Amino acid sequence: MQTETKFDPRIRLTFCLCMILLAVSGLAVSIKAALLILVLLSEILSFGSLKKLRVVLLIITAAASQILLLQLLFNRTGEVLLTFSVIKIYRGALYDALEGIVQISLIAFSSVQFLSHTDDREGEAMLRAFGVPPKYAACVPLAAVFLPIIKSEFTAVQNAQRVRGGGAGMSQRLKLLFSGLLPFIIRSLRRSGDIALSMELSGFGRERERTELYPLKMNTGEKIILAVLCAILSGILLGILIKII
Amino acid sequence: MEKEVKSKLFRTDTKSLVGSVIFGIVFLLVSQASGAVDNLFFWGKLGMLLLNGMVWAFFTGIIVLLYKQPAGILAGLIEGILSVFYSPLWLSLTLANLVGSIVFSLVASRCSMEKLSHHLTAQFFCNFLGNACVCLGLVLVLKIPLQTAVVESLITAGVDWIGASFLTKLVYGKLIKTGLA
Repeated sequence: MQTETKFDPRIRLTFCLCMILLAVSGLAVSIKAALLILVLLSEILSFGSLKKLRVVLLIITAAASQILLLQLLFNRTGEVLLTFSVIKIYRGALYDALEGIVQISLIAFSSVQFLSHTDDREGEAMLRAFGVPPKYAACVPLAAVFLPIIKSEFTAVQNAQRVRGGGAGMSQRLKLLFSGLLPFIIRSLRRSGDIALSMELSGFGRERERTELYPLKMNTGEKIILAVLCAILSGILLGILIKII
Repeated sequence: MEKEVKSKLFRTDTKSLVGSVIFGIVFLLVSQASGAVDNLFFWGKLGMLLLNGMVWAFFTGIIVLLYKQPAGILAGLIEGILSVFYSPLWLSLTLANLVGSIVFSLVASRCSMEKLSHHLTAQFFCNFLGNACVCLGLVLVLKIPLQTAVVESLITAGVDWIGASFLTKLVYGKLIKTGLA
């Protein structure tokens, strides 16, 4: 059985923000690669496997191929390494492509690590701890509930359009996208009206203050970790600001 | 006059809150589908997501027209944060959603949005400022050369400005006719 060490969501969010800022802060590629390994190691140590991070591998692969193509076509810095008839491959293109790929991997893995381990209850409690009004913090569980429902509605509209003659060709898919837009919007509008009415009838928004069933609590160790991470985050932000000025 | 602008800018009832969440998800799903269609064409392979950009501008506009603020910002945040699972550029997309939504609502609060010129004006600011945010992401996150990123963003903004203006006017007009808006 795998053991899970789950920190307070505020600690995970600060760690994620640190990684994202470090990714775009202009550090050397080797340091960014080391940070990427740190994110993967923290995932293995905390949750026992990298299963939850697998979802972004496809996205990273697609983005990496696009970065490589654009760099090879348009980046002309450094010396020429290879020549294929009219296409010349420059050293700068390969270096920038590598940096871009490491950067997007670091950003994607750290943000998916935070989001995939934070459930809607924790998200709502975290927003309330940050001082967001309960009415707006409730958007997190609402989004979690409605995502699969709206997804199935979208599939239903697409299937209905396919039955009416939509195919798999390029122009057909283009047509399908726009012809399904209005019915999907109308269905969503109707649904949101019904849900809002039933929520109001159940008393949503009647009281300004709401009690919390699962308030967030941090122990002393977690508070120290959060303080250290906040100090690092401030340092990174200050460094970026000084660099810009 | 000031009161009228304020009432056209903000709406904080439950319907607008729920609408923002649902339309944030709708926005995400249609963006994904349009991104997939874009990638079938040569412009998508070069990183210019023209249809995706058009869908982005359209939804940014229609959400503001239907539910005003803060629903536009909320829907943009929901779409941006959920797109973590679909794009490494999620941070600049979220910023673009926020900027686009705010500028669109500022223009919409001062116009009746019944004429095409109103939609063209609102979408002009929405598209060019939103695509500037995406351009920033292309340069800082994807490390695309600056000139390439600027040219790509300008083409995307130019095409989507016209396309999204017509689409928003058409769909918003039809929604008013159905009585749902």
